[in-house]
Amino acid sequence: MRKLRTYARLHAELFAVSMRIEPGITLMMIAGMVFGAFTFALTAVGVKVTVDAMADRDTTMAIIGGAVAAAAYALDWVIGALTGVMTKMLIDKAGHTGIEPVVMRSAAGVPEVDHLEHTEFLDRVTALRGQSWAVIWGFTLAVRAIAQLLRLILAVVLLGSVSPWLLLMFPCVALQLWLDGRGQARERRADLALAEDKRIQAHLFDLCISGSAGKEIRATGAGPELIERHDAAAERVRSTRLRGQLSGGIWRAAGWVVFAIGYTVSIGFVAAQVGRGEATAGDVMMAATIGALLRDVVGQAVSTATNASGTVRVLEPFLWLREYASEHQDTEARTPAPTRLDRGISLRHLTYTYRGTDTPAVDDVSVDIPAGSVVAVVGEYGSGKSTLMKLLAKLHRPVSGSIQVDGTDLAAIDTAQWRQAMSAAFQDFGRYETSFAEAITIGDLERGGHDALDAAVAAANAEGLREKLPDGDRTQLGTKFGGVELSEGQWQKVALARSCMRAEPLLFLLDEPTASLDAPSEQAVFDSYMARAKQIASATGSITVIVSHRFSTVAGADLILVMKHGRLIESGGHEELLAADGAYADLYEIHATSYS
Amino acid sequence: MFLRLLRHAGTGTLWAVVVQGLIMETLPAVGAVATGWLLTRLDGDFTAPLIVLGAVFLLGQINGISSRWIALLAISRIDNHHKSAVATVATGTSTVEIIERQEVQNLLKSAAADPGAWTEKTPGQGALGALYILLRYVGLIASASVVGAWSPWLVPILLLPAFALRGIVIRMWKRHFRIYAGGFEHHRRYRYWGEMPLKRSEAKELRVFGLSEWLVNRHQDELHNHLDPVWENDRAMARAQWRLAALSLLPLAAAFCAIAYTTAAQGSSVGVASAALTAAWGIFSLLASSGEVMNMEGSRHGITDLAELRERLRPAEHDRPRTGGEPSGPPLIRFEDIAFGYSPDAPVMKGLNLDIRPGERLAVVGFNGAGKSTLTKLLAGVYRPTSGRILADGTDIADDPQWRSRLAVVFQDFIKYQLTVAENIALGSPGAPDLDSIRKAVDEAGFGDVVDGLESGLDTPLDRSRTGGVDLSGGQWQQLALARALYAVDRGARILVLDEPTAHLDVRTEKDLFDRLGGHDEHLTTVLISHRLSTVRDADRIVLLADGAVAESGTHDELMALGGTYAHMFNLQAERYKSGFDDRLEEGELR
Repeated sequence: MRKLRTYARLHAELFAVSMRIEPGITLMMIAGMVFGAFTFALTAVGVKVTVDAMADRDTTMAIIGGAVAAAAYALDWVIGALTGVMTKMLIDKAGHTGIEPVVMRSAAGVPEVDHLEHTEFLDRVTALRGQSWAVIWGFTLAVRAIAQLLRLILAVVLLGSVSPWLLLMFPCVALQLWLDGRGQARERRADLALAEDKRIQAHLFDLCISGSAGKEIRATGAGPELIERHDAAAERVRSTRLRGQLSGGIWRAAGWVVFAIGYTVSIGFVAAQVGRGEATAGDVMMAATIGALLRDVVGQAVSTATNASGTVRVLEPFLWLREYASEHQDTEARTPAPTRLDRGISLRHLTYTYRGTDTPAVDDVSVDIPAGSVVAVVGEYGSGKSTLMKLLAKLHRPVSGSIQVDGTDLAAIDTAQWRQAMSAAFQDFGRYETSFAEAITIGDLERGGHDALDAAVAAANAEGLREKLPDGDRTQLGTKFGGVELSEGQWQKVALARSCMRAEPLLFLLDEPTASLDAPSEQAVFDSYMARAKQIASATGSITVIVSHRFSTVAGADLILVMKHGRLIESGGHEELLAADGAYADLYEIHATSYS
Repeated sequence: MFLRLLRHAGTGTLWAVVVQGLIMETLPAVGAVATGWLLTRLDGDFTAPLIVLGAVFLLGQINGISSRWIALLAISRIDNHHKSAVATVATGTSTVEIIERQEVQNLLKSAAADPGAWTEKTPGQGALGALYILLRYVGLIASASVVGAWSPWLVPILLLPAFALRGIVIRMWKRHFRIYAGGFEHHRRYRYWGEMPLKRSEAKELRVFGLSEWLVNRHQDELHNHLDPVWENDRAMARAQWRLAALSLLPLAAAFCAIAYTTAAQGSSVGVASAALTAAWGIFSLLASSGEVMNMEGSRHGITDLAELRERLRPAEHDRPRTGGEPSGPPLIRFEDIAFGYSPDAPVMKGLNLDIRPGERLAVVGFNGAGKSTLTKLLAGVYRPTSGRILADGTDIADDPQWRSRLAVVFQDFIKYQLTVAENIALGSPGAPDLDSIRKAVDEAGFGDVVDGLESGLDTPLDRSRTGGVDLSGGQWQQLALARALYAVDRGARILVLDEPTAHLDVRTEKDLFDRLGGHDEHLTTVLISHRLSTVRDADRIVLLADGAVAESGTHDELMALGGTYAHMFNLQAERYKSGFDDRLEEGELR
């Protein structure tokens, strides 16, 4: 019952969305579906009148009946076609412009990024990807179902008026719909079972047609084997689906046998009545016509039901996502973000555990980061460095402990404002296949402009790259849309430039900022970052946090945090840590000997 | 075009489709006759016509269900064949240069025929649609005969407008799909932005830079660019419906009234007249349905695009499947005056000359964009130089069908197959997988501990979306890619090319790895590309690429003594931690 109410509310909402986007089309579509129910009844009445008039040799009535029947047939068809076009347009338009943004916001608008690693979230988004139209389709199917109910009621009235015997068809219809439902359940089960193979097939296919994967496929000669695997996955999908459809089809066929018996027997009763003078030939003709039309109605109702139950696969995820997004908006974070740092950022017993894992990725970390400092975080991979960075950006919520910004809990600070006040370059930076200028200026949508772009490009030491671009700043990046292919290092420079768009961030996070850069680039970037960090630090007390495997970068920091298995095991300055002869000195030794 | 695809459905299936289609198309006419027969026998024993009517009805339904199944069987066969053909064509060219081109990528995506919108159909649907249209004419003849039996002159009155109606419907949908396909480029961009919030890397930046609304707008802009003209056309189609209404109403009304009036006036058989009425409507409903037309038009681009791809992506003649062959030692590789550029006005290589000696451990260094990765791609033969040749023991590698089997490459953007660990490694070399070899490669790449930690070991699928699957970190993937290349080495490859193989690994793991790789001696030529100079210093020879050619070449000590760009780069990297180390001063003095 609760489920029913939820869906009723959802459909009411989808109606509102449709009305907002295309009021005229929505109303005309609904009117068309309802009107269609009456033209349907009118055809049957028209045929009955015609046949009776022919039998009674009443020429006037014959012509009237013929005209009415023809008009009803033509109207029924045209209204059907018209409604089809309207429905298609509504599904397209409301789906793409009304639903798709909601889905995107549910994924992009949640403050944290935890959900992107949760299967239950990903599965639902996958189910909706490119399927937003199906949400509106679900709504149009609901309207259609109501219109078909109306057709059924009209059929009951008409058939009942000819002979109560004809109402025999209805229990048969009910039984038939039930049997059909069982068939559908089988087909759905098969569809669920083949989802994984389908994903594999899609994945392998995408690899086969991709340019970047194409290099390796050719070099390794893996092409034929990939295609073999692709074909095998496709074949598994196919046979699973066919098996499901077969067992579903058997249930359906059983349903139609029931209906056909009901149909034949009830017409037989009417025909018998004609013999006794209780009915006319027109009645038989109407019964046969309505019966045949009823078959169409039932057939359509069945396919509507199939499709409607099919749209549950998108409606359920859609509802879930919206609820998830609304539950995960941070409502308590109301304190405005500071405009300068006086004391600094303090971590207090900060702990974070990824869901589905037992060991904390960041484990009880406490440290004071003074305002105006450059902090380096080192440690082997998997030691929790990147997680710490994400916690500082509010991309994860601490499981316990807190981050204090000048004494205020970061959780209470307005997330959007906090992010506005910071900037970051992550290890796995984004690659935006758009123009060079846009890929960088999105680092600060409010500033933008040529000067800001120039400054950011300079700070990231990306002028050389910029000069080489064939269409200058408008050059399309990436091969997806026919742009230039960038190397890892070049992409990284673009990401770095992006992170330099904000002029004076209070907190600047650099997670392995130069992993793919050559030595001079690294040097230039590092120098310009240090200069920037020092310069903004003196003005606003801002903090720069750098994660790096490179001791060349680390040694110049004011404070070095050494992490291992999520814990902070050492902290202090470069000299201090070397003197302590602990884990840091150990790691440094390995790196240093490789250069000596 | 569509009908030719039917051969992929299988002969038996095809016959079943035809027989069922014929039954489906002729049943309305038979039903009309049966109804008429029933009406003439109402005064006497109507059991026979009643049973016939019921049987016709039931047969129609059962036939409908089974034909749907058979159609699915045929469609899925054709579609699978089509997809396989697209994948084969795409992987069949000897170089990737052509498939990276924008127009070819567009063709590939469009030929993939993945219905992403409900107006898009698959080739199988199109082929069956074409077949059903042919069968429809049989049904049309049946219905026309029933009407003709009542009066022959009614047949053209009904048929001509019905055909006109059909012509209009087809034209409408063709136009519609043309408009839709015209904006496909925008559609691809629309999808690209739509997937952005789910990408884990981009997701973090979207939040930090507050890009959520910007993204939605970008996404919606592309949508409107694509679909606004389509929606305009939808409205035009809706407005044009009155013509269809007139085309069906007038002839139908004329026929109905004529039949009804004549029968009433002459007192002829009501049964025959009723059959004619039903059949007259049948003619219209047969011709006016647009489902098959939509299926054909919606799938046309997928079929023509595959044909065009076949035309453009001819498989290279010498790219025969490889045979094992006797593994010989590593060859002498010679780059002879190589020039190359991804676009004509931006050359990357300008007259590169380089010898790679058998068994040599060569390191290639250079600035970002100096052409290090391009060197890898040229060596792997996936791009061809615009001029110059690459020779292996004197033979141009472009003419050597066996060349690639002698090569094991880890590309910078290696493939992350969503398959099991074992499959991921086995795909490094063609042929049946060799488990011992795989295990050996795993250990050598330093990936053994990770594999042992997995619940299903080598059989663990490497994607969380798969049952029992896990996601690897960037560093773990790099180790796996190495294992893939080492597997190829174990299976007979004699040249190992590593393009930035350790960017995501930490110092300790990297060091361990290179220590292990040292053990392959003269049976293996190793080409290591790295920007981390500390990792390449032990190489037999280091070449520095600059401005599309070899700028410096020699051992680490020689290059340092030379005091050129390499020494400068090395010192820059060293300088950062020099301050903490007194014993590093001597190297600084070399500058």
